[in-house]
Amino acid sequence: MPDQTAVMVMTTESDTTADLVVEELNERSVPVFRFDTAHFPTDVTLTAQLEDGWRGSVRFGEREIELARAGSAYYRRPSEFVMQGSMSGAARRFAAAQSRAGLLGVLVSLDCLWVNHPGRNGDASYKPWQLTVAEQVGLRPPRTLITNGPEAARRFVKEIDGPVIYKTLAGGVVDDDGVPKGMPTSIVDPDGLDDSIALCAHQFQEWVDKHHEVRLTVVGDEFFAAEIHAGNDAAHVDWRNDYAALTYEIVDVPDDVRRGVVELMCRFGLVFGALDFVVTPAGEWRFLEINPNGQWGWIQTVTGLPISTALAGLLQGGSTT
Amino acid sequence: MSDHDLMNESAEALLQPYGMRFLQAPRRAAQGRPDGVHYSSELQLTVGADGNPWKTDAMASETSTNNDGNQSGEDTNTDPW
Repeated sequence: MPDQTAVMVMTTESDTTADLVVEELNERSVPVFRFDTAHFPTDVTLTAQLEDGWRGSVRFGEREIELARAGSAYYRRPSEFVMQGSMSGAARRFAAAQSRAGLLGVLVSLDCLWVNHPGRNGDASYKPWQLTVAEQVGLRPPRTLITNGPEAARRFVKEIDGPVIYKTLAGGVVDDDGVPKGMPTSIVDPDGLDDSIALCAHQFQEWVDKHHEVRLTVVGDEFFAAEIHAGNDAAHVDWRNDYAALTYEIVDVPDDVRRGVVELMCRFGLVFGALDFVVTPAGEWRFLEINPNGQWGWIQTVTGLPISTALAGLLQGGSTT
Repeated sequence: MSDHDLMNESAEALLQPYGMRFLQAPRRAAQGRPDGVHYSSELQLTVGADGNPWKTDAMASETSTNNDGNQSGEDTNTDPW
């Protein structure tokens, strides 16, 4: 990447995880252009003209980036586009759709490295797709049923002949009539498998006996793996239930798992991923999921793993190799 | 729309998919920031009152806000894409 290229960072101002990367880039004197899509179009101005690729710039306040100078883009936690309140609801919806298609359409077509390309993030966010690929590359996901058929769910639970969990297929937070609520992985009560299963798609999995879990953060070709040990029953089912009960240890990734992860990342076109594994009492790694835009700041904080350094290097280099 | 239809609609509005029974309310609110902490448009990151990068809540923002709807704590988020 030529010296004069810059790194675009798309996220909220309150994203202190992105701060870790921006600070690294600042220390390396790498030009950074950080903005949030929520500021478009009110405070962010796009001018792009098609001339053998898009030529023009994005301006935010006193900063401006020439599109041709974008060497890489970190698509971290950009928020929804915000339209002017003086427009009608219909006008705001129209304007938001046009803004999204225009701004993101131009940016994703730039010849630069995306961490990750939002389209690839979108693909990899489909958990059934993840599980298919994980199975194909030998990462041994749990036996899984996705259904809206109550009878199929009851049959699956019977076949498993052991604990079964329910976990969501999409989204970590649910708006419950205005109250945002989380939905952790939960143990299924076989007697509770009623006809409400018919109301949407549901995901059921065999409970994989676990000694501990691993959060594996992949940045380009660098692997950062941390064992997560749960200190109580709730955290044992889903470690998000109680972060205070967790302890961590840095761990090496077995070669076969590493090969599978590389293949999975390659198939989805990802250069970053936060993967969750169960490690059984026998030491076998079982794939649970990949979060293509997953969190990593707390792992760095508690383990010292230099994830932000790796991300800054990846973005600065503009290449995964 | 008849009264019968309205009653059916009302009854249907109460239905919840199986998975929603596992919803959990926020355990604790997002942590507030100390006085003086603010976003620096010059450094393009959050700084403390002394103007230096303030990074101590990279952990808190990802772990203490789960279930309170603050998306910074989630592995998945609403994506403008």
